[in-house]
Amino acid sequence: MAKFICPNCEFVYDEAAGIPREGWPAGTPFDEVDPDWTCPDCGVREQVDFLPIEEFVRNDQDGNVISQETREQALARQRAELQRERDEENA
Amino acid sequence: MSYLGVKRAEEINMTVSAVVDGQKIEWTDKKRYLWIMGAVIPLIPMMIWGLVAATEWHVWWYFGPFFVFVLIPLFDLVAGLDPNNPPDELIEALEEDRYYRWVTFAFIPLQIAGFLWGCFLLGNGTIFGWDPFATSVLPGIAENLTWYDKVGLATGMGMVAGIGINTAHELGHKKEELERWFARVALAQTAYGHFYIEHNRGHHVRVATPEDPASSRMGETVWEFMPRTVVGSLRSAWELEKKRFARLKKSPYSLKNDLINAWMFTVLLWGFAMAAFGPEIFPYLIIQAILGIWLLESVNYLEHYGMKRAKLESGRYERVNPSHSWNSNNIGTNVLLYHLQRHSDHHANPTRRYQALRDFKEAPVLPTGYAGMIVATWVPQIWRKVMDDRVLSHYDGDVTQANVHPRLKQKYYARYGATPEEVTV
Ligand SMILES: [Zn+2]
Repeated sequence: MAKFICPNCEFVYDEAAGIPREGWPAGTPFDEVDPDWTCPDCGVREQVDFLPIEEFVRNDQDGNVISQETREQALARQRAELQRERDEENA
Repeated sequence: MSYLGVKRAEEINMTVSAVVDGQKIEWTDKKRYLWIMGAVIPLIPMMIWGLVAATEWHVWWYFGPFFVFVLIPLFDLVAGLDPNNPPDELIEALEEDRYYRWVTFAFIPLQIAGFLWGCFLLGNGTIFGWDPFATSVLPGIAENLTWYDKVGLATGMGMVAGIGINTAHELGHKKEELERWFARVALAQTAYGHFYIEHNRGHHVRVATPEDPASSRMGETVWEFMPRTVVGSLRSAWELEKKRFARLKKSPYSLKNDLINAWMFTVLLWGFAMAAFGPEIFPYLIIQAILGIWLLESVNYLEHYGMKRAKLESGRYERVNPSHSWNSNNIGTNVLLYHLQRHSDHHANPTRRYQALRDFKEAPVLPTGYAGMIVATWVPQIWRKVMDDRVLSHYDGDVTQANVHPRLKQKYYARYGATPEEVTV
């Protein structure tokens, strides 16, 4: 039986287990789940958005632009520190 | 974050670090210990009592609203902005640091203690008929409270109750069952247990659409918004649970219904308070609950004012993105409200923990923190003056893209120069 994953919060729907509390008993195939059923954890992705778990690479939570920025800052700071240490050694 | 090749994450005091692609990434959380300030809020009833006992000034009974609407906005003005963001690579490590969880957990027992202390004062200082401070009426206070003292105290308790909904909000979004139960406890004081269901499964799904009762429309006053959101959210919450129980082929009138079990916490808490401190405290419990709900719904009002997601050809709305929420980087309110004002990141990634929420450069920003903005909602003319132009410039001058109140559509379209065909739509 297949597994499907929420691309935002990585909640996993396992067909073998279903989600009995949501009204999907064990063994419910994913395509029998309502298309507008929302992810029980994040609420911002619906059944139609879920991916087969094999196809999942990484979640779609955004922030990579910022990440790039802060990463460059962090690296610049480390380089500066390294430089300072070297300068101190030389002095 | 194994996809980036993170081998190990470790925290040393305020610094989080991880090794990514052979590069060590480090980040210092300057707010790490400031978060504890959030737990100061539930102590407001104790502060009020202390101030009255020390000075005998009756006006201190109204300290709660003064704290929220005067001191916090001033604090924002003085403390300024905080654009610090944790690097994406460290978000997981930051979320896994359990210290941050204890900060929110600490709020809960303090909230209960503050509430019971307030009830003890409202009930004229007796507990189950026993009068521990018989000689001085109340500890440190020689006279019984007048009705207007009690109303004042109830407004203070209401401020805590409303901010308690914010704590419940942070906890209710989490994947762990324990935190979801804590959310219900934090909602008990306001009898707003259904919030935890409606907010996560209703509001987040329909946010910034005309269908969401908790997203305000351009031109809608806060006083129009209040009944619409309170009634609409309750109805929506019930529909959500009814639908789930219909799938289960069971009756929704069950303790397993998440609305009913959440409301039971209120029955227990209020029931205990009235048994211990006297049934005459009931009107004050109602006052503080209404104020708490009003405070929370005021925040709802300003979080998505005028925002609208575009409708796709498939009939679904576009995904929620950072452009659909109003943000503020004022460090004062942000620390007291667990980053609630980094609202764009929260709606894009609802399960993300508060300490890891980031400021999006492209997200729309309010002129001050949420507390100060609530004050602006009180006079709709002022609110519109501050906000309507901001909504419009957010949509590059195209008013048809905003979520405009149907009642004012003609007026707004005409004022902001939409074409006549659009005006008649
Ligand atoms: Zn999800």
